[in-house]
Amino acid sequence: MQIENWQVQEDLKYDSNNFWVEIKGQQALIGLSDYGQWVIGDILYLDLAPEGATIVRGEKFGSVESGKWVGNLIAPVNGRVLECNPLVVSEPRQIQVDPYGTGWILKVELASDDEIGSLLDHAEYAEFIKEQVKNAV
Amino acid sequence: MDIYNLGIVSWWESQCYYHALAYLGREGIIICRPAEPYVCLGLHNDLDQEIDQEFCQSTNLPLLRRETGGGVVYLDSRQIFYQMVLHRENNLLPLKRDRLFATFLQPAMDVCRSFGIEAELSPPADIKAGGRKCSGNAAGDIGQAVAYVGNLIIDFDFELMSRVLKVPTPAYRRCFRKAMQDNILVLADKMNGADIDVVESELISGFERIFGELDKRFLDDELKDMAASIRDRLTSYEWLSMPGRRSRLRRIKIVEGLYLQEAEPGRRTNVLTLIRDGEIEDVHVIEESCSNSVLHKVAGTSSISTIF
Repeated sequence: MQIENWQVQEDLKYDSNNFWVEIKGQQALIGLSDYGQWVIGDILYLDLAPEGATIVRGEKFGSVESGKWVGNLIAPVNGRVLECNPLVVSEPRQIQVDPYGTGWILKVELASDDEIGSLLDHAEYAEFIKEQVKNAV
Repeated sequence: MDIYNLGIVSWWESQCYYHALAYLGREGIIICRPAEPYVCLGLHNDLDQEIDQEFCQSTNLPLLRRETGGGVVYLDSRQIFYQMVLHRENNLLPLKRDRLFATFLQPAMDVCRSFGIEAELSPPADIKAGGRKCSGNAAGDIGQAVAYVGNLIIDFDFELMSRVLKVPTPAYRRCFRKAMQDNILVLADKMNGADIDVVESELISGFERIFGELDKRFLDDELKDMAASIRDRLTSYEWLSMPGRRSRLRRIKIVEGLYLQEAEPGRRTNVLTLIRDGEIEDVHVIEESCSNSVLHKVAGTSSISTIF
């Protein structure tokens, strides 16, 4: 579905830090939503937790540089990093080119079965975007 | 909004108080200058690729890696720092963080204009006058806050800046220094001897136009203690040597949109290109001999400069 200028993919879960999560059994793919990549802007560099590292929901798992701003990447779930997408590490702009496809960021092994519980479905995330835009400066 | 007009502080204090405010969840604006020179890396700069560590050690130049973006810079008491820390939830923060630079940099631009300098924002975060940069700026999420930091370049040591960075050849260094001199404006040339204090108070007036009357604050124990512990981390070898952004061929950003880039090296030759907004502006072909460099003009480029 299209919200304003951004695509929200209906088969994914989201969080309020603009990450999407695709659950596949005990594993999940994590990436930035179309809206999330727009908020960050032209991505120049990504620093990600290494493979094998534990990520904790609500805590920093990396950082991103855009222009002269550095932002924190906040984990949407608890888990262990299985893989960092080598394509986005070497070509961070790929996140902007294909945020829901080749621009995925991390593959993780989920810490538990209920990781999905705190995430937003696509309709809730669409409302979240609308609210953000409405309240924007 | 709190204002800390700190005047001259030690080199590490000039970076650590805004980090401390951010980690303490306190909003505020800091105006200061470092007493001693030092080298400051951006969060994602790669120490090994960027810095001539031997030179820094031999000249007792301390290093610190800040938690904001941007590049490596040599800093000393001839730059006036302005630093603003806002809560992540502050309504002033736009969706796209870099859009706040236009507001944050207004006081610095007003100072420039008060000296008759036609300063304008060069997005995302440079201030330029007559096409030359006169202020360096950056931002970053720190803890639950966002910090916007920058400085007005009253004067600048181009020679030391060119020595601090690791470069492939002496010719590259000369070219780098000249590119900086051509593209950076030092305000001292335009200030007619105006006092630094005047600049600092004008900066504060500028922030008052944004936030209303500011609450004057002094450093308290909480801030001092936090800043000291942050200093230990930001200057530790482990933190400084954290891997960062690397490129196979040396590429240095001079100002926004302008890069000095090394091309594939040949036998005893080296090609440097100055790229502005994605277009080649200058090409330097350098033949290194034992004692000199010979520079050849390359057809088809807009200009070429001698860089002996």
